[in-house]
Amino acid sequence: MGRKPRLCGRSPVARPTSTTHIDLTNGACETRPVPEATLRGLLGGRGLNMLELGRALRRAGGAGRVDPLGPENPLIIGAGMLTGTIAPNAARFNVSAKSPETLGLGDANAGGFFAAAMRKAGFDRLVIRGRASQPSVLLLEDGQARVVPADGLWGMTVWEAQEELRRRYGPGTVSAVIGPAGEHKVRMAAVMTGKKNAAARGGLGAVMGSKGLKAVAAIGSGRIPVEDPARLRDLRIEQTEYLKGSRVVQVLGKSGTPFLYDVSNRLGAIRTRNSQDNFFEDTLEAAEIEKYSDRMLACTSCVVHCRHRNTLGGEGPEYSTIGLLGANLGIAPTDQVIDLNNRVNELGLDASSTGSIIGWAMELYQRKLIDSATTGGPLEWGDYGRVCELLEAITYRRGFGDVLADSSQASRRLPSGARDYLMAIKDLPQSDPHDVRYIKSFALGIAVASRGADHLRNRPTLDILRLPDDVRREIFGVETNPDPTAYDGKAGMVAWHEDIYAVADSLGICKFVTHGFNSPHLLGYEHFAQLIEAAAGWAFTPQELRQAGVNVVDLERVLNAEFGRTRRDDTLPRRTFEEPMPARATKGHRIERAAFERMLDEYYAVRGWDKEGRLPAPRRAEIEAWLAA
Amino acid sequence: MRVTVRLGEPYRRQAGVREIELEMPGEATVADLLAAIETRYEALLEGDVPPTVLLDDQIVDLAAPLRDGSEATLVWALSGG
Repeated sequence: MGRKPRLCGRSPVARPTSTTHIDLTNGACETRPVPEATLRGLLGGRGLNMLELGRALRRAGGAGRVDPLGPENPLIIGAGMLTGTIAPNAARFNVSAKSPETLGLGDANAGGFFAAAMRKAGFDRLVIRGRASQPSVLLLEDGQARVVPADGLWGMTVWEAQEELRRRYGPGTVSAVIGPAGEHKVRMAAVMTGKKNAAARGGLGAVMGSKGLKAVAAIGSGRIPVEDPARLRDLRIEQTEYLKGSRVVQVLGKSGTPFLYDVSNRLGAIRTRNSQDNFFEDTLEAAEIEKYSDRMLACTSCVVHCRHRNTLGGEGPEYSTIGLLGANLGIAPTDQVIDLNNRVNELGLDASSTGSIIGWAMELYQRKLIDSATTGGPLEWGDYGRVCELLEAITYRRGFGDVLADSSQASRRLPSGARDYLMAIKDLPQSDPHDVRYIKSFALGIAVASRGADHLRNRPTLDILRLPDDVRREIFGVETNPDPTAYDGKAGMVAWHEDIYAVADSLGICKFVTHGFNSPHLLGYEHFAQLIEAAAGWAFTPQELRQAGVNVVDLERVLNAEFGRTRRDDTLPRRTFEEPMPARATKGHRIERAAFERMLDEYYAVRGWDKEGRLPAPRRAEIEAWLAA
Repeated sequence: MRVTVRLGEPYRRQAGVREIELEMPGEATVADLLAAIETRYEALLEGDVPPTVLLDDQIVDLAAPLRDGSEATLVWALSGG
């Protein structure tokens, strides 16, 4: 199987034009060019991954029929169009497949250094099918893809495996790996690179594990060719200066995302004890986290440097991890939460899903829907030691951990009524720690997000309070309702963010430098168009670039329909509708069902979809043409 | 009247303190409070977005009157992560 080196990477042309198909079952490998019209329409990264996912699932018998842990489910790893170039913050890649966590659209985005190395090794996008006959590594080097035995790597943690790969193949080897969680097909296992960069959402590490693939290791000694290197260098300098003028960029470079904890907590919007409460201890705010940080780290070509290196041996934590492994589990000591962060990263678990699912189990125990006979012992809020045990039990599928390892799908193995307390949408546990009952645009955003309850698809982050009209207009580009608790006038801003985030994901650009994500003073369509022209030689107007975002969103809507998703799935957890927030400034707020349905109507209208959230026939035909090509 | 101001991020880092106390005139509003803070800490409140003010855990606008003993909290109106 794949013993001989295979020449299948892209040739060194000035545009990112190739997708490499690899079958782990028989070692077959083929690189195909991507037509220019397709690249202009979907750009790369997330956009092209979605296209390959749709095509592969159709070939395998249909999205609904494919076993997410079976060999026919494709694992797609795709770099953004600008990834690996010197464009600011162009480090990102997407991992996509049918999700074993949601049984629907699986897509996760990560930074770090892997994607640049993959491109420098000659590969822009991998579509990996089949199943290796033994634990394996996919080795990418100078246009060659080789499937080699993992030889002792299987069983290693995320950090150990990467270290061993560097020892075997040289210090310049950069890998995307799974930890023991992926090997044991935990439905919330991540694909990891570095100490904490995670393509975390949707359990795609389990898909990789199901294929017997421990790692994709890239040795990238080549160059990523660009159309106009001098122009790209000038743009890099110019845009970096612009970004450094942003206070948000400055703060992220010093405090990282933990500074957001205080914002949510003071408002009364930090998810606490599985969203039963909405505020928690100050021990998890940025100033406390910084006591355990000895420097800030960056990804490829980053100008922000938002990632803490912590003194407990890992990297992070992020705001999401603090919230979901801290407040959501009732764990207050700073060092304990940082330690949990390091543990999930080393085991290769999605911190958001893991924190959400353990919090769910703790509430079920509190409400006596499950007892110690089921859980194997007490499951009390704030019990750090018990959570440590559970992380291991989940990872290795031992005892009650085997149940929780199924994430949302565990509801099939738990008493009826358990699902009422699951904080998930489309079966994806909510990604971030912000309780959405107060800010209605946030609620709409996670309800319609294509991969499930996730803030990184469309969150209008600045819609917390009554920003001045001119500021809102500058950010959102459309007239919007300034009242964050209003239901009307929110759909436009959600759609606006959805489009630009889809473009950023497809270019490989980090959201921390993307216009509208926490600041109106970051890179927008015009900046992106300049970068594309310098890197790839194509002229885009801002409108054409936004249309590429619309294309990605519409394509994902078509794929979701093939997974059987309908308007009924664009909804929120029961608690969000029925239980008001208990304290602080947000006290009393919840989502009114009828008003939510109105908001959904408005959103579908803004997107040009019908009342059921379906694309009109002519638009559907355009998407079909791509899928059929 | 005396008002306690809790500085959320990123104001805490820049000012170097978590909490300050200010003596304000009797008819003062939240806008006056922000002006007093800017006098003590130059350019503290500049940035991509204006600060959001919570007064005794309630979200208020700039015209809201202060009360003796009030606790004001300044945060950025953001939620990404």
